Amino acid sequence: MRIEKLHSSKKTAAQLVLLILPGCIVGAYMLWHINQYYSVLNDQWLKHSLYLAVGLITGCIFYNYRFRFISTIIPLILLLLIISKIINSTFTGEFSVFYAATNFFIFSFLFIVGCLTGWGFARLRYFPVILSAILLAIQIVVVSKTSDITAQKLIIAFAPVLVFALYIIYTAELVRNMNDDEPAFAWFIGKKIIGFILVSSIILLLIFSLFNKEFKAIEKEFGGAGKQQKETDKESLTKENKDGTVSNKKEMGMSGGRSSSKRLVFIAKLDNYFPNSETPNPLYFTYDYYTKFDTLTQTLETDSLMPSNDLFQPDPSKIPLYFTQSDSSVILKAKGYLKRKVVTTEVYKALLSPQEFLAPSTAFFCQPIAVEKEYQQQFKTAYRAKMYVSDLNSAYFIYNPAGNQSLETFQQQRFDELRKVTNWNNEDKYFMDYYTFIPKGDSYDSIRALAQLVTKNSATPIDKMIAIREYFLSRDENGQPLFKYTENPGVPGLPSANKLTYFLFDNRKGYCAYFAGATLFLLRALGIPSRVATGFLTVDRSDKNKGWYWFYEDQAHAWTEAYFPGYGWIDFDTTIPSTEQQQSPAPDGTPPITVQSAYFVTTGKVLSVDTSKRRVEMQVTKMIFHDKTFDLKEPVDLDMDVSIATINKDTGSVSLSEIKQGMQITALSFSEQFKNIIPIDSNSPKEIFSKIPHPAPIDEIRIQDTEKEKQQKEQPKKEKKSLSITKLILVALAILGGIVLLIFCLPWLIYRWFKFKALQKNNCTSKAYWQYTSAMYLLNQLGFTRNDLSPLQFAKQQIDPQFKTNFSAFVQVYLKSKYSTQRLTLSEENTVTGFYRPFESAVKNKIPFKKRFNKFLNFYRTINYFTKPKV
Amino acid sequence: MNFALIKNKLRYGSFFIPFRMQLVLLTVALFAAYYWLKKTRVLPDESYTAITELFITVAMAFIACIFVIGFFSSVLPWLYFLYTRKNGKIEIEIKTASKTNTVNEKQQVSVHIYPVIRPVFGYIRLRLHYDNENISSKFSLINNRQKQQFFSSAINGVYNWPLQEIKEYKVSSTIIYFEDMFQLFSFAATIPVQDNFFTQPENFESDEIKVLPKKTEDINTRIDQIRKVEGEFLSYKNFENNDDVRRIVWKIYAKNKELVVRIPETNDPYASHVYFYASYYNSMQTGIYSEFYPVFLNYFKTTIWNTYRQLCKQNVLIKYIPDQEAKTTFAEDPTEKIKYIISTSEWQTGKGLQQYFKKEDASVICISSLIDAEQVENIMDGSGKDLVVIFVQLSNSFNTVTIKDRIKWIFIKPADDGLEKLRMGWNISPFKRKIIGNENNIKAILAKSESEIIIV
Repeated sequence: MRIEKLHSSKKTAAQLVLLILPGCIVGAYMLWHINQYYSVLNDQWLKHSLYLAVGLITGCIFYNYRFRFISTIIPLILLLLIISKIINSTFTGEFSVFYAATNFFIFSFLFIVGCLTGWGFARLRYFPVILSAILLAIQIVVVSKTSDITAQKLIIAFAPVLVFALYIIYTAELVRNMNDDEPAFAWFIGKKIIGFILVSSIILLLIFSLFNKEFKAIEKEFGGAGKQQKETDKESLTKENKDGTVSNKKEMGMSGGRSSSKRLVFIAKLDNYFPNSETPNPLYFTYDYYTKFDTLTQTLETDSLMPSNDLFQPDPSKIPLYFTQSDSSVILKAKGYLKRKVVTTEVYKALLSPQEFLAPSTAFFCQPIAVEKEYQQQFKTAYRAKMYVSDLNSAYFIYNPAGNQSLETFQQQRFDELRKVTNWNNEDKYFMDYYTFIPKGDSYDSIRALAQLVTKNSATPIDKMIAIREYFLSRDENGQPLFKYTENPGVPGLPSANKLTYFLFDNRKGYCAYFAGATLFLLRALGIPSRVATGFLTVDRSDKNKGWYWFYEDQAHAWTEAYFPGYGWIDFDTTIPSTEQQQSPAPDGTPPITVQSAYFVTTGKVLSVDTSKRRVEMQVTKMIFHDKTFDLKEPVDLDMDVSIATINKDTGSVSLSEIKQGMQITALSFSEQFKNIIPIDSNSPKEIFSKIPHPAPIDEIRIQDTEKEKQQKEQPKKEKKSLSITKLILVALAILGGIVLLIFCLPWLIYRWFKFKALQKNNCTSKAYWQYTSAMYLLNQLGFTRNDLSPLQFAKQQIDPQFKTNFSAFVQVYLKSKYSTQRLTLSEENTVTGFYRPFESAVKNKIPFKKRFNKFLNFYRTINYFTKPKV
Repeated sequence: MNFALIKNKLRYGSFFIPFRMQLVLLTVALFAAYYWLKKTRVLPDESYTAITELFITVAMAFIACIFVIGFFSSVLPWLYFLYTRKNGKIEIEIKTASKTNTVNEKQQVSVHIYPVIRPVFGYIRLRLHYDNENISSKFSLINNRQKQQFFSSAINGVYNWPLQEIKEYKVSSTIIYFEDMFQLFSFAATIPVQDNFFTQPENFESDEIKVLPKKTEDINTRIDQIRKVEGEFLSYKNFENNDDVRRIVWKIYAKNKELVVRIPETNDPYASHVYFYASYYNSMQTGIYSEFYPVFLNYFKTTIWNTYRQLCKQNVLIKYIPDQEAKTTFAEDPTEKIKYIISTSEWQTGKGLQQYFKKEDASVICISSLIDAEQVENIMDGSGKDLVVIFVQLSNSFNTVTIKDRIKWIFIKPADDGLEKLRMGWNISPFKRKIIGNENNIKAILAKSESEIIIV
């Protein structure tokens, strides 16, 4: 069977050389990039490029023959599916199935993508136009996310794709339009390609020299930060907010590598010292807990409905300065009463978002505090927190000692204490079921088996915990560490069963989230209630400022918490030390030690602002005076002198003009004038107000509810409105219905138009014309077509006998008016004037309404009328 | 209101739109990409946003440059062309390409336009307005000069025109397009032209036909070259009284002062010529099926032409007897002349087979399925063994569709010969049965005769 070609061999060759070959190169470049991110691909970019290239070449050559697309691609996909099924049933081992299936999937995917692209180049005329827009957009997104920002690198990364995007449009059209019979075919193509290279190079050179300043400006502005955050393209445990601040991610950031950025997130003063000494006792700062394993998505999630929810998550930006928010119920829910104490911390936020709250577990109190003026550039906001912490949760205890003898000894004391716990017999069943849940299945059974194997010699829960930690630190038969720390483990979406087993049994490379996830599963497999905590690990680096800790982005961390009855949730960090990771290079700076105490704090609405006199009048609803809080039942107006005050928002200092009437603000004063007014317990707010100076000297005003926040609140509403699919469908249906209705009404509307013209015209000739048109249209629509008859024959033979009208007399006059140069006589004019209405009513009388209605619905008759010659 | 007319006008108007679909699609695609990118830029003060914005600006500037270059590189030659046209200095010639230039035996039109400035790295493309209503697809010419000057202001080339009907076409105007290198812009101008060209039957190899000459004819062979040298009188003799003075070769007289006359070579055998008859007579008279006739005609013409070629190859002296008034042609080559006559012939209803066919002269007759069996019977009555009858079964013009073809159709797109619909119509029409019935009758009559019968 001979299959004809769609294009000549010359054209196919030109497509292969000029489109497919560059396509293969670009594809290989992209795959090389992807392989850098996902080590599950085993860095086989060359092999993958080959798959893609085979797909591209096959697609291009195959579809250069006259093969149909749908009837060939569907069998191909079915074939690949069948092969995939066969692979699944042939391979027996769980891992070999996983690998064979994954490899085959990668092959199938790349081959199909290649085939589709090859088909697009071979068959679809406008495919390169769409492809180029997609390529440009993707490249802009990809390159824009780079952290290594230099003008040269940006240009090098973007320019080739920009040229390639236009190249494919140009070349595809060139190949499509070329003549196969051109004698100097190669020269013709070569000439055009040279022309393209020449022109595009000149334009490119001009454009980039024109925009060089802008590139340099970007390098200058963001380049420095780029140097700091070396690998922000990798997955991070923190996320960057709209205002540039940092929050912990809601997800655990397990879908890729971990950021090793060295930017300062916050600093904290933690008043936790070893008993009877000045030795600081650091604690991990907790952000959230991951407790629930979702079997559907195979991921570990946070759960606001977790049993005994002891997570205190206030929004410090919503609490007025020096006012407090507390929740003592979490103390009870923490379920720990042994070796517990209350500890205070002060957190100064650098990059950390104003909305975020971090504190060692279990926090129950939050009070935003003012930042000293001189530190306001560095730290935007601050808060004080109180926690109900366990003595057994010192960072020194939970650090993985990793062979550090002194730490190991230190930790023994903790373990000895925890060895008192042997079971959870008295615990609530729901609580236990929840925190020991892992799904059933082969993969989980293998984890269970591993957990049993690892802890076979351990009796108590804490010994089991230690055994797991030791397992991660153990060495193989060659003396090499069994597990390795890497920031780029490559397996996305931990800890699904397959990937977790992949980490535990095969890859054994990961960062904190992997170790924490794996520990959680091993613990739960042993029936030990556990959860994963995320937050920041605390490193005590400085002897200078005792109790002050500095937290950089690379300290974002995940660890495991196990529940010990009576002691509550105890932290365990099983992450092994990193050989890759370097500690934050910057020495810790000077902390804002000189904390002032605000004597007078008020909160309320702004009544008026006078920027020239620097006065603000506010309606006070709440007040703190010498640490005593007053809730004012009747708001009091306060005139304030803000000449020396700094005005702050969550994002930093702003000018006085930013304060607008109606805003919610907090004003505070450190003034000596307030210091000297000592309140008496019996003083009412009114009495205090009468004592204080007017206007009241204010040192700082904090704006709470900004316009921006309002906008942010409104924005999602708007989006929701625009994304209403139901509304969209209804509108589409209404439009469709309208169109259908219009189509059905069109014959009648046309008739109305002709009739209108027929009755409205005064000129006798045009009146005759429109009357004739309207009458003929009406007759045509009702099923009386003239066919091969002349108009007069039609009128005489068909219409007049049928309807008893004087149509033939009118047609004669009409034909005279149309073809004769003679004027119409008076009687003829009368014939025209008196023709239409009697004619129309005669026709209508003869044909009942129902029949007329049905006939007018027939659109084909209308088409027939307009396609037939009229005279 | 005539939809067909409006549609035609709109279609014609669309040929003059100064930009191409690429431009529209590229603009839309870029706008969509821009919109998408704008949506992803959610963080105002980030490096991501700044870089994205800069990249968008650079990309837009780059594309704008391409647009500007494209626009000017095509609009300037176009304006020059309009100016030259206004001054009436445009030369244009369209004709059937001579055989020496034909490539792969395709239908070729040769075009020459002067003066035209080509857009830099761009393209000049054309459309031909022919036979009143029809406009060809856009094409660029194949250079037929081996070495063209780099800055040539003339366009010479051929176009392989895939026209279906074998006939003479009348070109009334040419639309010339000036397109930039990216083919985004396309500025058009029309040039009126009054030229004809004809499409030719395809060549294919056929079996040798055993044919005997029946007609005697004197042939004067013209001496093409003047070869008068001393002592050589072949083809020449000295002038004598009573010789035709018009035969004096004045060139020789000018050289040698000798009066010499050309002796015509006379070929005078007993029976020299094969008279080739081909009847385009159509006795079916069914106007409603007229849409099939052009397909039949192409098939018939191709068969006649290839039979003629085959006879020529066999070195017989052949004379083609047309059954209709031949249009004038300026072709000198007799074969080209016959080719033209065959190409421009049409089905006719005036001259029946009996009025046309001369039994005593004819060596070969070519008949089609459109001739009624009765006429064939009449002419075959008493025809000798030395007559060759070529019966062209027009039902073969459309290929028969088998189940294999239908299965093939699912996976393979058939070649677009423009006959898809007609083929479908043919397969279901009663006309097919009528034609096949007539063919069977003719075949039965032919089977009875002594003449050599070739059924195609």
